[in-house]
Amino acid sequence: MRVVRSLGRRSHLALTAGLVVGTFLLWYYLTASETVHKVVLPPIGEVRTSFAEIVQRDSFMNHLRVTATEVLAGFALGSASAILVALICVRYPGVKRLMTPYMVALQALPKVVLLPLLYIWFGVGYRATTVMVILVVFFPVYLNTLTGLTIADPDGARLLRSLGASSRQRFRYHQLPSALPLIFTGLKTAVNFAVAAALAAELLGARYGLGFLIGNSGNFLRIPELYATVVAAGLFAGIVYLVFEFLDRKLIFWRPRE
Amino acid sequence: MTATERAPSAGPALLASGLAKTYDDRSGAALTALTAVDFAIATGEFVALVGPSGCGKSTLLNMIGGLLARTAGTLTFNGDDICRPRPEIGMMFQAPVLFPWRTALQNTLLPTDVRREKRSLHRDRALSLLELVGLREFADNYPRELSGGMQQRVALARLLLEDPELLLLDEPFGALDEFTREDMNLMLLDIWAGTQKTAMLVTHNIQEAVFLADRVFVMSPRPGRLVEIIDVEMPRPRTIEMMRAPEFQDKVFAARKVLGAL
Repeated sequence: MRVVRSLGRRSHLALTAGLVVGTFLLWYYLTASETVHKVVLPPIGEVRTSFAEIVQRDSFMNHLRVTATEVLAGFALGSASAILVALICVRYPGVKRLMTPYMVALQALPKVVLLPLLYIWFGVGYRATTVMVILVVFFPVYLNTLTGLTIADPDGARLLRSLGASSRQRFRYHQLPSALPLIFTGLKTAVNFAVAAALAAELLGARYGLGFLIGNSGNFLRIPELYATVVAAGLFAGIVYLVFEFLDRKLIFWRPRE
Repeated sequence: MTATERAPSAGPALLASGLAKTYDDRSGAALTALTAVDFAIATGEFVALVGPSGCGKSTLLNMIGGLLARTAGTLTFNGDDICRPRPEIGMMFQAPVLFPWRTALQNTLLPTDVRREKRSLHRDRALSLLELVGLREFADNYPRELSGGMQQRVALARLLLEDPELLLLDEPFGALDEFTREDMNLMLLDIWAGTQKTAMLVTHNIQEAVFLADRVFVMSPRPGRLVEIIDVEMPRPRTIEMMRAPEFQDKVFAARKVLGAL
């Protein structure tokens, strides 16, 4: 670890690139030498061909659109309601006390176990998946917003009061912006959860979506296709993550960073 | 404006009589923070407030700033009872309290936003105040790009934006290093001397108090009382060299003696 830490930026990049190349070389060696069976690990070339072939299908784009819509809709509804509930809880502590037992119970419960119930309530399909996404998005956003709204520096409130600011102005000029870095941290966590939850829900019961594609390839032992769809899901999740990381850097420009 | 013209002559601006503050502590017992405080501060006067930690200096300042209700006594500014923050009274704290999402200029204009006035109306004044504190070219920088001393200068510009008549300074340079602090004190004296402002400065540093003030108020520890008022009576404008003068040392020693005896 000490060696890695003392490396310069350049050598660090070189090391990272080397590790990636090494991984692919190892993959190539393991399949070419038939050390590992094709079903366990298909040759890298077959996965590549399969990936190129899948992404050109119209049906793939439809599956991707379904997953993206579920993720975005669930994320938007889940985070908006979480921020709203957190705002109400900060404004009315009595409401917060009333809701705490339910919040703790729902938060402790692994949300995946609710899937069978969601399928019964909403049918197997995009509705159940979207509700699942809402559920996993809610808590990280709710908790981070709640904490964020309580960390505003008391000196800032004192200054604004000395300037004659109303409580609404203190919220707008100080409390809310002070909370934004944490709210955004919550949103970034939540969007990753959202992708994972949508894929899991689709895997376990849906006829559309990237998760369904992955499950389907697995069920029919179309191994290169299975790997290719996993790569596609990974790319989707990665792009979503990068978009939010970019937004965070633009919007929360004052966040202390390394 | 010369030093003699600037001497406090007008009637009292800030009047306190029988001022007291009692808190309830956690067990419900009454805790007296401040008791029987009487003083009269003239318009244009510079008063320094010294005393050991926990003597109620900040409590007193918060009451004058209208942030804290008093338990007993009267407190008036230009004849008006102080019961809430007023635009003629400005406060500055030990921390600069700049908002990291606002540039130096936007931080300076915070009072404008609170008054719901157009920033464009006060932009020129804010820029000239930043010029006054030597930060004109840093107007568009964010606080994290400024040093501690520069941040406190932005806070000074923000304090002056609304042109308050009374400046309440709660150890404003206490967190800065010795040299920066000296620079800031001289800048503060310059600004104060150029206007008709009344100033009340809380500090732990007796030398600083004597150097800046017309009168030094010495307070006792809890319950906080005003135990001594020392008239400095040194000519203005004051220079760093004056700190070597025997009369300066006498005043510092007098204040130290009062504090030591407490």
